[in-house]
Amino acid sequence: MSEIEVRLKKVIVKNSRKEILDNEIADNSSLTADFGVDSLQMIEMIVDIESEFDITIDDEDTEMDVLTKYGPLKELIIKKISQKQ
Amino acid sequence: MERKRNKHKLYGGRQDMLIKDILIMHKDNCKVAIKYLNTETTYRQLYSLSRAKAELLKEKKIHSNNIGIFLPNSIQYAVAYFTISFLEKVIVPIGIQAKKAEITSTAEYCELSVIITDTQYMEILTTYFEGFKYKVVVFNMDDNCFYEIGMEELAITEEHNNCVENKTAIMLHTSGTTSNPKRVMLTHKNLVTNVLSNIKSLKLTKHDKVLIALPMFFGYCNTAQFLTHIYIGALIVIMDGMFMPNKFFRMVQDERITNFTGVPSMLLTLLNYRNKYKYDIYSLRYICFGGGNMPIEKLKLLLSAFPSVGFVQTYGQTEASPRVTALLPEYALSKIGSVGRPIPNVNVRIVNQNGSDVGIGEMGEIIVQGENVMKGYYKNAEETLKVIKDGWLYTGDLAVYDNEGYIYLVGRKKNMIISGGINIYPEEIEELLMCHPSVKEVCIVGEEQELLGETPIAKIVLRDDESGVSEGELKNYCMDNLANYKVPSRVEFVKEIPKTATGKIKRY
Repeated sequence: MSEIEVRLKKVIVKNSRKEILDNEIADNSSLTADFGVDSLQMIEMIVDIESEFDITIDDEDTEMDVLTKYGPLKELIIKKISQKQ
Repeated sequence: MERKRNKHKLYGGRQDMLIKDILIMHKDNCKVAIKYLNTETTYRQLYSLSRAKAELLKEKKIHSNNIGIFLPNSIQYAVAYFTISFLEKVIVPIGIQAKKAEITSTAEYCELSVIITDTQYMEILTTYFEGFKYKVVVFNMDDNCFYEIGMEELAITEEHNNCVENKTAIMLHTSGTTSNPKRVMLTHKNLVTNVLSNIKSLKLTKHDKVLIALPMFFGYCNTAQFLTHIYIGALIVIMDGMFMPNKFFRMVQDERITNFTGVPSMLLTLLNYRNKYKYDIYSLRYICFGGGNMPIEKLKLLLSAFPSVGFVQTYGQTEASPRVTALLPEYALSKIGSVGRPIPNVNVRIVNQNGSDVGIGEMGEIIVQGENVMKGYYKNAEETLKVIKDGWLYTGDLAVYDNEGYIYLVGRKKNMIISGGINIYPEEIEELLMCHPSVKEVCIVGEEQELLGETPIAKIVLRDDESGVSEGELKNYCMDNLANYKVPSRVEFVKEIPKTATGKIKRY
């Protein structure tokens, strides 16, 4: 598991209503259906992700398919970090 | 000419209407009624579609009085809602977040013989109802197909009324332990009265455009947003998926939204949103909010961040259809922290424990009277008698008046926790946790949380300290059986739970 994944999973575990382990989070995991993240937690999670990775998630990034699935969310963060460098 | 006269009469306030009449008024109206994602429906289409679905369901010869809706916010939800109204049955919305036990107990308690859904939710329903002993027909609105589950017919409770407008139109869920559920019965008259009061209070017209982001089955949204705007022939725009601040600003700008209703947590996300000034929101006349505590300092920040928007602080209760008071924008600063004064056709008093009116600045319980007050809790006369006395609804909310009659909430008599605008009843979570083999005693209390206002936490005494059950296991147990928002955010293991002399849990 890459360092980005470890840090991202830590943020997800913190914001999930369900008690989950890092290894339960897979690319096709739905943060809403599988881990009970609701709308307000999602907003808090975005804030946490932004500060954890020092990136900005733009409005156009917040399309629900991207944010609610672990795989696409991870890809988005990797893209944002590489754009920053 | 005749039609115009009738319409005028209705706008003036005919309270003997039925819910279906609200749509019938607009049956020839070709204006768009509801927009959702890339689809829209005119009033005429909404009417025709609901009538057609009602005809289909009529053929099934439904013996129950009550019909469930298991759909997310959508045009389909509105069609299902009016379909049931045209059948002159009672609407029983079920939140799509509900878990198996919550849905099946609702179906059994509310005697649902039919539940309306769509293809997406069909699978969930059929899975949840697998092995359910009672006969339930699930109607898929997408393909007009019926699926029958179970065998045994449910015993039906007959409703006795002397006039149709006093018939129950909708049953909304409030607190819900499985052993003592409280389903609020709102009549046609209750709803229409509150709709008319809203229109008068906020001076809404057919030119208004409302944005709906709250669940449509919430009392707050059902009357103050959905029915109110259908009544005046305005445009309803439904937000898809989760509430996100960027989506809110974009939709207000693109659709030229004139009013919105939300809970404090939603408004706080608008305040914290970094691009809030990027959008043109000058069309927005009102943001109504209620359902939880709004810190005064945050409200001041909102008023100064969005000076063109009129903020309306409201107070209500599902049992009152729901709106009771409103603080209009012109008093937002001078009476900041107040929930305002009663809206038209609603009487409010603040009384002490003896039932006498309190003086200015003295704390008492808010009691409410008017045609908006519910008929009662379904099949629960005992609980109804506890809250409706001599025609007054005892809200359980504590408040004070100022010298101009403005009301300020100061607390609650009930144990209720309000999290993100949603009412959570500790007893429901406690009842579930008590079924866990490792739990000996449990007490659920609300803990302050900046964005949500409050969040439930569980204090638990284990049967056996050596049982090894973890916080995570207990949270997941709740997650499997309760809607997500009811799951305690943390579990504290304690040696004992303080009790009163009579053995009741001391919550605070």
